[in-house]
Amino acid sequence: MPKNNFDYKAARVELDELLTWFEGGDVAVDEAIAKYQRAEVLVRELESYLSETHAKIELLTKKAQKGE
Amino acid sequence: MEELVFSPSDFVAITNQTLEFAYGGIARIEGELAYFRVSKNKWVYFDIKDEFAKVSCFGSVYMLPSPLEDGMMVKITGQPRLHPQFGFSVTVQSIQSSGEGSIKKAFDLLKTKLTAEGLFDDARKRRLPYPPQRIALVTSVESAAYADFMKILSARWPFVKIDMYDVQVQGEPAPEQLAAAISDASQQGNPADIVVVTRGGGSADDLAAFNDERVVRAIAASRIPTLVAIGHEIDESLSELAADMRASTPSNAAELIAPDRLTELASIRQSGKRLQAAAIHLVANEVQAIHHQQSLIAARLLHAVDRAAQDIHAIKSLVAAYNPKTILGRGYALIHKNGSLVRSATAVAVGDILDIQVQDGVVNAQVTGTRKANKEDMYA
Repeated sequence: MPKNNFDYKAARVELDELLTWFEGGDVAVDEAIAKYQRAEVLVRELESYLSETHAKIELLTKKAQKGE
Repeated sequence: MEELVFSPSDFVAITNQTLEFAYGGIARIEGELAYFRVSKNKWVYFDIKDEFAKVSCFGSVYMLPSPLEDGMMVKITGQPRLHPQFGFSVTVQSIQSSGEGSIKKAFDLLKTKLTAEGLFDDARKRRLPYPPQRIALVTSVESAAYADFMKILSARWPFVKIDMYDVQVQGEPAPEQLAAAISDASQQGNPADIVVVTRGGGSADDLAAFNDERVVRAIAASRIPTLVAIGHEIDESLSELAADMRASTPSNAAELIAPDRLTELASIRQSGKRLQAAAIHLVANEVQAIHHQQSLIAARLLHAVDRAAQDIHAIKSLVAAYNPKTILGRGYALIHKNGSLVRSATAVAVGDILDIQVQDGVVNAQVTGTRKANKEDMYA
């Protein structure tokens, strides 16, 4: 689960940069492992953030429809 | 006894004194109109006659109640006088049609004349201020019409100020008084909002003043809107035709000019309720519209979030492809010497101990020889 002050945009930019690095071809293997692990963390955090946001929006919509 | 002999002048003077004494100054004569003529639009001359006699009469056009024609029955009031030059005549002070046929004839003649002048045109009719704040009321304060009008008006709308013009509404002085009162009311510096002229019902004679040309013209000339209410239901009087509005009775006049305050109060309350209901409906509609907009925003937001999630899912597969372990799974290996990655055959020498990392573990090996890569190595 991402932290409360999770910065979606920054995480997304960082993930894009990692992908660009991987796609560059001149990849140092030991560096690749660390970057890969970071990419995995970012993907998990982004997925979790989006899933929570989806649930939050649905909850708010239901409340609004009930007139709360 | 000495015989009295007068000079013509004395005879005229004595005769006029005698006539004055005999008639008390004023004589009333009723008869048929004959030789009626108007001179210079100012003077009228006619005879009033019956089967056996005729009397010459003279007067001003301003006292005519309506157009007159020979053969009509009229009742005149005037001063019998022997003129030093022109002989005997009655100087007429007032003249009225009399007898049903003549009254009707006078009415028709005046109606035709004033219709031609446009006095009764609908286009002249003005809207009465509703409700008025001040009314000029022209009637007799002793009449039932006054009592009825005031009773109904005070019950319905007691907020109106009344400028009272107490006049005679029938009889000889009535036309002049009515006309003067209507003109006065309309020509005030600060006039009332409307002028109401009213009286109760009566015989054709009683109502004659309301068909008098002077009264009808005063109503038509009024600078403020007029309402005429005469308590009769049959033929309209010419005053009513000239008025901006007519009412059937004095009570009806009071009903027409002002609303009933109780009805008005109920109507205001009803309007208040309707306004409240409208406001509630408006707010409910607005809430519904906001909810609808909120749903649209939420749907768009969800769509954006889901698209972003799909993107991340796609990136996840891409990231997985870059997993170094996946690469090792394909048969590649990482060679370390003393913890450092070996990138070249020249970095090792015979006898060096190497750690070879494969997918599922590490192989320890010793270098037995090195050489440069050739084409076969690349595609082996």
